[in-house]
Amino acid sequence: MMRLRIDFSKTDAMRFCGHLDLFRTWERTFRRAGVNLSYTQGFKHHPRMNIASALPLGFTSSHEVMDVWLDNPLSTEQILQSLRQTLPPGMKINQITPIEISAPSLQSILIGSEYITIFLDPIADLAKRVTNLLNQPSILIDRRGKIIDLRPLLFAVELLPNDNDGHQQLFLCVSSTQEKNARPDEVVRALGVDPTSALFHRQRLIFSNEDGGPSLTHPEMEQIKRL
Amino acid sequence: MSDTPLEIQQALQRILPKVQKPGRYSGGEFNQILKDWTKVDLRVCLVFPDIYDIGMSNLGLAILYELINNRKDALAERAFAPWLDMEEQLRQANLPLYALESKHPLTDFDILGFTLPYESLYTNALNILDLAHIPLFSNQRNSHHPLIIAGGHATFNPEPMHAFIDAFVIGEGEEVIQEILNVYSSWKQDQSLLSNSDDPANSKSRRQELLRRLVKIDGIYIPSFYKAYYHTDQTFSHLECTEPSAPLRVRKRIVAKLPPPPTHFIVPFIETIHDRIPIEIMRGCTRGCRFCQAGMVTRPVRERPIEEIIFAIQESLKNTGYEEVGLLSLSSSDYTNILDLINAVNSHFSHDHLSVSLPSLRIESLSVELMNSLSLARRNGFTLAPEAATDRMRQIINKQVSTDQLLDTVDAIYRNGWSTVKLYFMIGHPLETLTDVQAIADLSKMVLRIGRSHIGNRAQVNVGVSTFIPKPHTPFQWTVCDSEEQIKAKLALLKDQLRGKGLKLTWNPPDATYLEAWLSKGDRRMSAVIYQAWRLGAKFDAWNDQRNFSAWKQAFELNQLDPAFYIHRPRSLQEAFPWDHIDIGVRKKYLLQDYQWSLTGKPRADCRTQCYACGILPVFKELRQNNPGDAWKCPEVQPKLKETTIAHDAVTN
Repeated sequence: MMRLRIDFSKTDAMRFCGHLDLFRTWERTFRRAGVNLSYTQGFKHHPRMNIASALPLGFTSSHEVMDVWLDNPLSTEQILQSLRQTLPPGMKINQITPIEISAPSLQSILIGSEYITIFLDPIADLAKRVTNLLNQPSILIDRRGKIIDLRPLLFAVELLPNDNDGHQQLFLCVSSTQEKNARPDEVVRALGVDPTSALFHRQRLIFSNEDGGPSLTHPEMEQIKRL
Repeated sequence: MSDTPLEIQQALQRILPKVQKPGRYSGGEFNQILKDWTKVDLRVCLVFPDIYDIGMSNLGLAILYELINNRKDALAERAFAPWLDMEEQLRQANLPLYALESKHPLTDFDILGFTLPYESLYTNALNILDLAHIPLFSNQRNSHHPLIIAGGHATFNPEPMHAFIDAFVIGEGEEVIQEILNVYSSWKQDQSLLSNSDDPANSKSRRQELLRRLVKIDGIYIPSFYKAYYHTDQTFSHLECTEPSAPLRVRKRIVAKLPPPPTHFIVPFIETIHDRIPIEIMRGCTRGCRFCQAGMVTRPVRERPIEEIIFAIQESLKNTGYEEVGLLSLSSSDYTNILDLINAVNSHFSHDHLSVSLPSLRIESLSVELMNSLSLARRNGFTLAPEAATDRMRQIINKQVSTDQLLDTVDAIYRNGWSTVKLYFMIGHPLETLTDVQAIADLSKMVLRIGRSHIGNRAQVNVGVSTFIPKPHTPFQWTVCDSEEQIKAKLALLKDQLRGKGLKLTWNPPDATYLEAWLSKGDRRMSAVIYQAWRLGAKFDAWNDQRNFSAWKQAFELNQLDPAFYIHRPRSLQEAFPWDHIDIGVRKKYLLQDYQWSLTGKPRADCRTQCYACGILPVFKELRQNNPGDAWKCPEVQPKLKETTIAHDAVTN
């Protein structure tokens, strides 16, 4: 048995592949590549896969993280080469790392997510809106009938220079634990902007440092503490 | 049109986050083919007029997509009916319907090829033309508009859609699509040599020139080259050719031998209704069920060799990564070497976490053995289609299975570990009485009792009941549909009796039946009804929660047509039908003889063993001679039998 952690991007049309559909897409990508995943036992067999965090439909991402299990160990180089031939357009693999079979689940070590939000329509007073938002002691929103305070879930909300098309951009770092998580579209709505006029890109998932997994340091940690 | 692919792409950025399942509208799936438009001369958009989730499971679309894209000089893209939410967004943004691959609006294409497998897609086809900003009526279009062609089983009666479609493809499309593209290509080249005048009259005559060239292709029906006449009693009289080169009868096209199947299926992001690799193992059916249009229009039976099927599965698995394969045909048990095929599938794919479905099995215990030996089959229910519950009724419809045989089969199914049996029946067959309907309930309960005797309360029987529609080109085309009172009474009986633990009944609402019946039996006057119904808001007529029945009734009224005329009126044996000029290879007098046999319950045996001279063999004699081999499953004709059959015929064709 071998457990692999795969860091991948999801862009272009793939952003319209939902979370459940993404499992099927990965299963088929592995099958095309001829890399045999471990299957669960039971009435209907499913390949064993674990995706750290569901990326909301329509969002792009440069770093999603998934664990998969193989019955027969293969070299990561071999796996990477096979998968690269069979990935659908809009998905790329950044890195594959073997990890301990007994390592904790991705969900249990996920603490935060970083997003870039691109506004398709100009917002004259965006800076002021951001300042006002961060100055509020609490930001109460209605999430499917449940009242949630967004404020403690925001680690960073910062204006970025405009993109090449002149669109305003916002950097967001939010809490993403199983209990406490915020979505960037919720933040945008709290800024008084219609989220359907914005594009969302997840640029990183932040994991806690305790499992010994790969690449867990993040320069924004200082910022996170500061907020 | 100023909508460029880039503009459409940009507009979609705002629209797609607002709709359900945006993966329906994004394109960009694995195995999609996106060609450079500047390097390709012929641009075809294949249109399936229902939502993506349904259309992407259509095998015909996949076949044509691969065939056209295999040509260096042509490209094929896809478009589907947008669901209500997306339609609203498109209309709000005044965005034309576009093809998924390149995001070019449909107006940029040379040819739009509509797939019309069933009649309830007609209003969607109109809606798609409207969303594409293309005039709905054929006579309003000119050489600047895409050529609108259509094929599929519904088009064996093309008349209801005659006003909207420029050219129908009758029969199998694999070869004829190439001929259409060749003709289009040479016409297009000739056009580029002509002056670039935008005079509308000129543009119309160029369109006419294209149609005149297309009509020379066998199997192409150009409805605008004909005029229909009716008797004073409103029945159809005849068609008159208004174009000298148009044929009086249009014979369907078939391929002599099934070409290798497609293996580069597009893998959608979202789940589709049949989310699997479809491999057609056989085309046509020799059983001759009298209600079945597919069984009549897809003759002769042609099988694919086992090696070709296995190779196609291997290739498709490698190319798509799908985890399920469907081996498709109208009657799997009739595939000559079905056991060898199953063994080959088992030995090649048993280590692949693959499931294989083998639908359309005959009602006999051998089918249970077949499914048992198919180790990769998913055991989620065993489907049987007795169609009727009494031996008498089954003799009338020529479904040759006895109740005893059915019960033996059911016994074997439960004995071998299945817990669910699905039974498909039809009500409304000719000569059916309430006794025959009562028998459906009795038989279903008997099946449940057998199940319980094996596995107790785990036994489940799902009963699906649809209502008979007398389809064109079948022996029952002379008969009528049940009245609404009859259907309601029959359904009420079944709903009352088929309830309780272990029994589940599903049925088609009468509205759905009638709509399909009107449209399948319609003549040219139905075009105005379809148009009016669409104007009044009818679309997605195949969807029980969307069908706008009152719009249809109103559309009939506005056109002073009586829906009952089309489906409740017994037809004289001499009556000319609006679809008689479509030649399916099976003679009308053969169908009539079969109808007359049905009235006395006289069966017609499987024609694999004995030829009944339906007409296919003489019609395609040359084709068969030029393609020797054993792919066709018609037996050699015995001259003696042929003579008696002819002597028996009541009418001439």
